[in-house]
Amino acid sequence: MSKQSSRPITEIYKATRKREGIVTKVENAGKYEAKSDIKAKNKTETKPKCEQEVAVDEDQELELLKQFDLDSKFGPCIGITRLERWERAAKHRHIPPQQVKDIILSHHEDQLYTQCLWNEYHM
Amino acid sequence: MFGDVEKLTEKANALLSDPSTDRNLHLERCRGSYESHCERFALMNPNFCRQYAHLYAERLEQQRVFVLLSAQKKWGSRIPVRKLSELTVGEKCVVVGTLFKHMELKPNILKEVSEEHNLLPKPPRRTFTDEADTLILEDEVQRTVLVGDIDVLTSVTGVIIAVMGEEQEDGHFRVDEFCFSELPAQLSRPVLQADAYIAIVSGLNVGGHVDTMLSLQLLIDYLTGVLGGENDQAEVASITRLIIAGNSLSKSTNDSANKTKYVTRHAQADSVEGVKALDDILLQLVASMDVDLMAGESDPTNFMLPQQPLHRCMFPQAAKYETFHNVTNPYEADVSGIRLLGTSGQNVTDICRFSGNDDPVEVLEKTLLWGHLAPTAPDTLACYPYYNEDPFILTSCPHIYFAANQPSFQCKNFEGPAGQKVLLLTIPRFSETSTCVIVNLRSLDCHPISFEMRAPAANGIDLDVDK
Repeated sequence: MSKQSSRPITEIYKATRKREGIVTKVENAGKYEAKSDIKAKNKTETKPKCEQEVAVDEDQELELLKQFDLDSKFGPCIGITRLERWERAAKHRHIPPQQVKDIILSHHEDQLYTQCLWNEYHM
Repeated sequence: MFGDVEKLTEKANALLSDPSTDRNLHLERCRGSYESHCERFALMNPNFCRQYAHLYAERLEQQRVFVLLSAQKKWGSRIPVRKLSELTVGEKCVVVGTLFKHMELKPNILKEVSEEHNLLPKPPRRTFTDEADTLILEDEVQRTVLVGDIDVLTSVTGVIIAVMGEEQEDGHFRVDEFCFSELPAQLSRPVLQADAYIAIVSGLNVGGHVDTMLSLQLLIDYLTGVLGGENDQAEVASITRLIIAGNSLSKSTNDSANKTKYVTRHAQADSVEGVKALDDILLQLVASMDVDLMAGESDPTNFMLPQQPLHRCMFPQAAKYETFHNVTNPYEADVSGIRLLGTSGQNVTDICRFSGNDDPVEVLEKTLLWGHLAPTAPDTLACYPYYNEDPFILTSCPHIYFAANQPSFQCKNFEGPAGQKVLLLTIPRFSETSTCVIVNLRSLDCHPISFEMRAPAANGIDLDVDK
């Protein structure tokens, strides 16, 4: 790591969310440019919009999902998928927002949407 | 019928008489209807990557509704229901939450690890209760200490309770009264035309070093109708079913890691010998009647509740019969329309260990009032981490409710607040008491039958007949 000479450390280890298929941060140190390519590739599934708008939508959706996770009314969130938690909340008539379920189902293959906020922490 | 004195003397005379000349006497065992309700205890695709918070949350959610109904009936709707976060000092209100009993003497892995260097071997305790135990009420986000009119000794962790009282200035909640979930409705008991019986036995402990084979063989002979005169056989023919409620294999057959196994070349594991012997026993029984085999604490199946049925491949001979049923550990079924619910006793033993209750029948009654089969799960009783359900919550009131592997036979007729009538039974361990229990499904009477071999008084007479 000390071999990387002039670039600041925040450029080498840029904070990105870990997604499937992306190589780890250490290995990526030399391939900095490749990250934005991978991110663009993942976005080709959505409708063709300009990249900035898609990013904003996505951030809003993820924020909504994060608020759903942190709402204690729906019970504990760690250890079950968001959909399972939604179904459980619906069963107990806590009226979870339908929008949350729609977002989860539309991204049902993406772990970032289906699993809870603390998924990577292995508790 | 079984215990009538005149009939007994009549039977005795029949036993000591010449064999009957009636060769056409043909007795057929009566078979009643049967429906199993164990589906909720079956573990499909178990996933252990979960914490128990979900189970407690689910339990609170499900039982809160019924506890509130019960609270309203008891205290009326004038007293407001508050969450713990909404309490104000001095306001009389009702709070619903999970009870937690803080026990100093409860075995705690953190204490063991932190004191590792100075570990003194602790003597095994029968109960872990102490004078200094405190009760804490928890809901989804907060907890508060309970003081006042609530008995700490007989309470256990995991019960959903509604307390009425007020918050004091020091933050504790002073309890004036409390109540639990109301006992659910009971299906009406069908009127049976003829006497039908079921036999329940537990704690056979086959394969151990204690020799109970003679009593066990007598039991098998009795149930298969080989024993006794014609009158006895006619009575036994009305026993429709046998339930073997756990601990069929002895604890000594659990191959422990410390024992050096297979030291000699031809040594067989205790467990293999034990299972073979159990298979032979079962073969004799299933050839003649329906047998439900439940797993127990010392049986080779999963340790946590609900215990899954013992695998069919362990009983190659008995499994061929359609009368052989292996069932889950909390066992629920309708036999001839009578709802039966029972466990192999781990829930009752655990409650006795962590509270001052020492009478198993009282504990059974308490679990009915608490509305939960095993409230101490998962705190001190191993349990599967459910997330979407809690199958131990009582959703309907049974007619017969039993706990097996207890020290002695006890029975009690319990009457619920809405007129539910339940027969509470504790089934003794057969290896210690040689007793099995027969229950009359028509009248819900029960009585034990003992096959105890009384050794004659030790006065020096040698009983070796081969001399």
